[in-house]
Amino acid sequence: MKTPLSVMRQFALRQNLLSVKALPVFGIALFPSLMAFAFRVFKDAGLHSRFDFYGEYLAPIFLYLVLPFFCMTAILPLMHSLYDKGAIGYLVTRPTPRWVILLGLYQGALLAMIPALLLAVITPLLLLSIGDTSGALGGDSASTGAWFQRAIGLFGVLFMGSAAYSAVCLFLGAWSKKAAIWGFGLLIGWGATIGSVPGLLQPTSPHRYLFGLLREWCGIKEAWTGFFAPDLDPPGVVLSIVVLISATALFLWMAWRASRSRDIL
Amino acid sequence: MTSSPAIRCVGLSRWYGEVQGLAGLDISIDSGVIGLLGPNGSGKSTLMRMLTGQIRPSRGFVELFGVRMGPDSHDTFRRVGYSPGEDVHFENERGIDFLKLLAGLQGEGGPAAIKRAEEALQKVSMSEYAGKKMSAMSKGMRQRIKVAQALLFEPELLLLDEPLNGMDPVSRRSLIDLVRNHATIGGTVLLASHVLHEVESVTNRVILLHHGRLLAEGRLGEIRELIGRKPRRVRLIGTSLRSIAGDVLSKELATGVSFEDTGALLIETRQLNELLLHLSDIGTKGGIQQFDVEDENLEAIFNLLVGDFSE
Amino acid sequence: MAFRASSYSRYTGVKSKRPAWVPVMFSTWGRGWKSKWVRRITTMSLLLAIALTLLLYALNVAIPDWRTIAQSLGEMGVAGDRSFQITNATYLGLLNLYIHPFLLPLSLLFGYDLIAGDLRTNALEAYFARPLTPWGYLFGRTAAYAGFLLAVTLAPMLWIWLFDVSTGPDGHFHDVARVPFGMTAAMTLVALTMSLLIQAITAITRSGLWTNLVLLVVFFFSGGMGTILTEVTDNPEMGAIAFWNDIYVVSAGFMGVDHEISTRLPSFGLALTVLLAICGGSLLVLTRALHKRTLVG
Repeated sequence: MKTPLSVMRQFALRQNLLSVKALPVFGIALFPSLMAFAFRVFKDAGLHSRFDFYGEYLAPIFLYLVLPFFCMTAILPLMHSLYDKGAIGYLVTRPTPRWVILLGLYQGALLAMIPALLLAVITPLLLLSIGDTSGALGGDSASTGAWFQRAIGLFGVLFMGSAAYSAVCLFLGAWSKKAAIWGFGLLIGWGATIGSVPGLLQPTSPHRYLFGLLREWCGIKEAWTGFFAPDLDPPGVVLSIVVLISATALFLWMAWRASRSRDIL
Repeated sequence: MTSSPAIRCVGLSRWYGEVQGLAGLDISIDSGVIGLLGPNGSGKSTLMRMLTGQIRPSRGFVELFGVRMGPDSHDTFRRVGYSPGEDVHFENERGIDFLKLLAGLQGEGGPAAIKRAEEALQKVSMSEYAGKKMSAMSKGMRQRIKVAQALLFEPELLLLDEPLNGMDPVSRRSLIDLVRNHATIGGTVLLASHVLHEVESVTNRVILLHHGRLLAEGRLGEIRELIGRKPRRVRLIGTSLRSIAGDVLSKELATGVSFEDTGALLIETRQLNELLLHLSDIGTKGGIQQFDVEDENLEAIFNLLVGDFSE
Repeated sequence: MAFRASSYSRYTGVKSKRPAWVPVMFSTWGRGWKSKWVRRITTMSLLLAIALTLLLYALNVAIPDWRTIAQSLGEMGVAGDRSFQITNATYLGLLNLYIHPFLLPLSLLFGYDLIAGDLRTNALEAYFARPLTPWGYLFGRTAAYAGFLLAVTLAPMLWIWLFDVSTGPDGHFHDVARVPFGMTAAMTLVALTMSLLIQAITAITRSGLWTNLVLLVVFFFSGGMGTILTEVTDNPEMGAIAFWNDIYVVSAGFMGVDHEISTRLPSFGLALTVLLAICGGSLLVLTRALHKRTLVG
């Protein structure tokens, strides 16, 4: 049976997956593949194995660049298109609570991100793993199981991160006209940067917990980029999941509050 | 027990920074068609948005069917259909999908939603364009889609913000009929417009807004009568205008005369009908090439009502 | 035969000699200046310049020999291998202090809706119905935006330099004489590139929000890509993909300190070529976008 929630979900899916707006998200999804391709062409059999490249090179790139921009390009234009010219007025003047509208938009946008996330994770996996005989530092090459475990883990981490940061973007879209600038500040500044620099603020950032999951689910302990500072007390899986789900819930609630207090002009 | 009015505004005010959108509006509407008239920027759309809980009042409150409107008063929209003044910005959606989406938000899905959408499209003669994307529709078509979505669930109260904008004459006619029919079956319609004759073609009950204030409320005839007591201006172009000026002054048909830089004669009068009869008698033989009664448009009526005649 | 109202008469009064692009430039400034954050960032830039000036003044007055002392300390190895001299490289560092915190935020706040707004609202038709050519329009917008960037970044740096050489010891001017020319050349190119790039993006996206998102993606992904490709290929020239690298290398080159910067960065020639290519590509996009509009109506 169709409920208002499922109707909104389908609307967001349609908007984000079946329109030209899907192209930037898929463009961003192909960025790791480009890097994987360059690695195969230029650096194969070098100091790092392909398996290490997938984990210690690409995984941080996923978290620092792909994830924040995925969420920003998926959610902010959707919210902007509704709020910018008052189109949201058509939706909020129906006998449906505003939280249902927002939750439907959020769920639809998150679902629409899944194909792009799969593309981002699987294409580099295929590019790097097919014909992988080089092995790590000249040793045995990683097993197919290890490759897939890493890929599935990475997808899980990215999905958890998308859930949290999409909620942040949903809040920003409902709250501010300059959501892109706030999004940049929050996702890149607070998320990616503060979450990877040891200090008092680090535990407040979802990125720290995403790195925790990355360690546990993908076995990635180091990162080539240098940003990924070893955490002396890395959060475990349970704590990470609890914090990320709580952050998601908190920002969804804040989005609802913002939608109640923002005038539709 | 007395039933609550369809619309009730009490001391409704809204500021946008230092600009006043609405100032202490008190109105109560029970049923029938009411025209909300006002020039651009008079506060019509602000009022419409406040009625639908999209904008919070700075002061005062709004009630629809006795329910105070705000961000959580969504249940009231089972009885209300709202057509905003802004264009439909769901460019990627087809007409039918847009209506299905909104029907779905009203709790109706699947074939029932499609049926609703098709019926609404039929009411605005848009059935053949149901599958057309919004981005490919003309402004008039989009206007009709806007009205269709307001009619989806045959609401008791219709709030229509500038619904006739951009519509062709045939569509206008059918929308006017639709609005009238809605009122005859006991519904209430608040129709906002800045065009006097548009409103006049639908109803003679109006609310006049000007600079966010309630200027007048009642029947158009009463308002016209009120205007009738104020001096009016007639502008004449032709030859022998000086003798005509002397003539109307001597016959006490004018309270004052003046000449514009272009040479046109401006006659100020409190006996408009008598003056017009007299000017008709003079006619082209007397040298009148053209005459216009000024202040017939809406802006001028507002000027008259606020005593701004001297301008 | 031309159709004309009977009351029409040709205007024979005094006509303004001001070029048509000048009002476009002023209106662009007015539009940008309305943003609260643009005003705040500009103020921050000026405050930074005042703070640095005050620091120089305090040092020169309180410890007139501070440059000599600092140099000696550096030579003695007290401060590692640093010699504490104010050189062209110091100014390059200071310039980066201005570029990084101000260039991107100002682009996001000031430039995001330069042409998008006009395209969206069909204002271009109104512009081109006046005696304003597409090139004039483009010039007005570019001059306004590039001029604003220069005012916020270059002008404070020139002020600091002027203060430094006027209060410094006799030989100091000779040490840093190239700085103002280098800085002006570098920042003019950077501001022009930014201005044209952002206008090209806004002409394509026709949306302020998408312009900002694309600009952020260009900046950050080019940075990531440049770094990874440099590592993967062992070729520093790959770093030219990163926009920031190009800005830094070109600034260093114009200020004569390119030999002091990292060997993991692209060469001056390539970085300059990339910036010029961005300018050329952006101009091409803009010309096409504006040309299409002039054919409308």
